[in-house]
Amino acid sequence: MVGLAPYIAILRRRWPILVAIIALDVLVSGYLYRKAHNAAGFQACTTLYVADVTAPGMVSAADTNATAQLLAGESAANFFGDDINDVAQSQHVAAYVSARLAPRHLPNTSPSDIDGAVSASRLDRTLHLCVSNAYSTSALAAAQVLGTAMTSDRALFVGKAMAKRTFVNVISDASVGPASSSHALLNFGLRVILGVLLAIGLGLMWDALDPRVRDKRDLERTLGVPVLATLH
Amino acid sequence: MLLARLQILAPEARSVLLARAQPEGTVEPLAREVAAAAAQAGFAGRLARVPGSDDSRYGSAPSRLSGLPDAELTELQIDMKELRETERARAALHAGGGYTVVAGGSILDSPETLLLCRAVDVVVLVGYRAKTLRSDLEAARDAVERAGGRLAGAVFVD
Repeated sequence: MVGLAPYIAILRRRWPILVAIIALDVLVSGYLYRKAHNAAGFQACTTLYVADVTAPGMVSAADTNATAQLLAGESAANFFGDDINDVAQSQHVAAYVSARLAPRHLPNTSPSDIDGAVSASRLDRTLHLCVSNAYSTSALAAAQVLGTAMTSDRALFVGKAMAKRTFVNVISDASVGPASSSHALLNFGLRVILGVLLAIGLGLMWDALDPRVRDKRDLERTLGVPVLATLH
Repeated sequence: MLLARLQILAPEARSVLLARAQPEGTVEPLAREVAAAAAQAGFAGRLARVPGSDDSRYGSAPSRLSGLPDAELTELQIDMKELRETERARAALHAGGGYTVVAGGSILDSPETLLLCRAVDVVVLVGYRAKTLRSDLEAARDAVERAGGRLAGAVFVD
């Protein structure tokens, strides 16, 4: 605690800089948090199953190299799954979803609204596709169309040859819920902490660069003689 | 307190020069109080001014030390001829065996103040918070040492 005392004294002396930076940081972080929170709104998700139609299940029992083919089928399904993951998040699919939703006149369903609002993750052969939107109806409808795009209409995006080799089916219909704001809150917290650290750093740096005498100890250090009196 | 600490640091000293490092400010009220404290302590307190150090140009005077009552002080005049001859200046400052406090100007701007450094027993530099540059303080300290003066301590004006 004794070692920190000089630094605390500096921060107390430079409090206007600290207060200004922290206030600005909280304002900017709060604005970004609000923006992220509002943008997320709702999230609708659907789950798909992907398989390789040339996998061992489709291969005749007489085949002697079944293990190798099993592994090959597993790898191929994973590869297709990853491919569909990437395709689902593309502009091409966003335009398709937007076009399919256009007759329904749902809000926030332009290609630019859909593009970037799709997130996808794969666990083995299951794909989890989610669409974020400020409106729950739009999010749900977009997730349903996305499911169709990646199943019955997948040939439009992955090509006919690959579509033929893959089996993709919706195993969990789209459902909608409030988008998780945990990341927004975490980001807000991290931004505030970083801002406080930045303020402390700048306060200390400002003080170190100040060429004027700051306190009694500073005067003693500079002159190398004791301070005999302090006048207020 | 300033006089007491000075007495502990330099018990033999009978003359002290109070000077600044920067051009702004005045040390005369402080010098007057130290001289008054010396008078109260039983010395013949004397206040001297460095000729040519025109402090009245600057407004910021240090606060009073401890509210000491104004004492009867002898004001000593130092002329330029005495300043050029250190021994004569020293004799004038120590005449009568009293305690002489000299209100000086800026060490870096007033040659008279610098000349007095070697005539007085000790020099005390006054530093002002957020006004005095560290580089000026270091230059003033070096100037005092080069002039043959003895820098005994400092006063911090908050």
